[in-house]
Amino acid sequence: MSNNNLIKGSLQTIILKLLEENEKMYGYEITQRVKELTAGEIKITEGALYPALHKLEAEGLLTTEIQQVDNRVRKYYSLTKDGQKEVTSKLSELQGFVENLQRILNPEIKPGFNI
Amino acid sequence: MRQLSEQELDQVKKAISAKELTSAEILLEIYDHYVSHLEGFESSRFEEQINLLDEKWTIAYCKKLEYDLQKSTGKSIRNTQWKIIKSYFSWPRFLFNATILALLTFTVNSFSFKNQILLLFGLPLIYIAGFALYVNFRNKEKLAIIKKILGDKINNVTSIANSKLTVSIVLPLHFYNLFLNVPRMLGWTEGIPDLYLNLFSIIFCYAVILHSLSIYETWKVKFKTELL
Repeated sequence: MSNNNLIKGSLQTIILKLLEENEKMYGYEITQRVKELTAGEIKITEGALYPALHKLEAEGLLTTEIQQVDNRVRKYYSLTKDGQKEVTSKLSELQGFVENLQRILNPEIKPGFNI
Repeated sequence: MRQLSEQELDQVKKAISAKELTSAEILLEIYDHYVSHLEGFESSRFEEQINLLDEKWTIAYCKKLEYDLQKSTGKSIRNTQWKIIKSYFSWPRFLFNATILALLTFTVNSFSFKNQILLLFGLPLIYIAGFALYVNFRNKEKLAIIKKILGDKINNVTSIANSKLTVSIVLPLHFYNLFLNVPRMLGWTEGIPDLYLNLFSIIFCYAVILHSLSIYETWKVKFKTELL
């Protein structure tokens, strides 16, 4: 399923939501978690993930921690206080968008319908 | 999940070195991504998977990642420092500001011109130069770990965060040249009343002190999370 363009706009929300549930994660782990949760239907590409992570970090929504793991150094990302606040607003924003999209795709659904 | 052999790790390092990257932040992230991915496959599929990774992590993509990180790191350092500077003007920290200004005014009015220059400009600038050296020394310690992991296949490893912070730290040294040495060389200082020169000295020195303190606090904040 080629849904990269559809995911692009919601990638930041996906990252923030995953980090809300899992205290800290590293880049590769995020790609694998999304793959696992969606049974391989959604694949986050490296080309989109790392720029998004760096952008969220620069905006102060994520903080990083470098740890030595086995034979390498790993960069873990976690939410800052601002990031924790942002998760709620990003999620309701996305929820609203999905509801509106649903109305466009299925005009029989009346306003006020909740998914 | 399996551990990669030394030979396989060498091949990963070789693949990453071909991307001609220098920033430790990006290198460590790519290296971890490659190794994490390859550990999930049997050794018989190693070649196929590393080629697949190379197709995704193209040189152009890696360079773009490095360039974007340079921009966002600089912005993040400036934002953190600005937040800290703003906090100096809130109560009760504002008292500290007033004390500095009072001390500077007292210094300007109490000492000879040479001592004034030494105290107002010399000391903060010496502090800044010393602090820049200290920051770079601490950074070398952190980078040594990464260099050791990446081995001799990847050379000239530097930290983006360190480069950006060093540029910020030494900024007043450039202002010192621009506002003090250049006018002096061009003879623009002659004819300016002492009152204005003193006022300018106070403002400049106050700005340098604010910068020195806030950049130190920025370093303390960033040191915990960045490669500084």
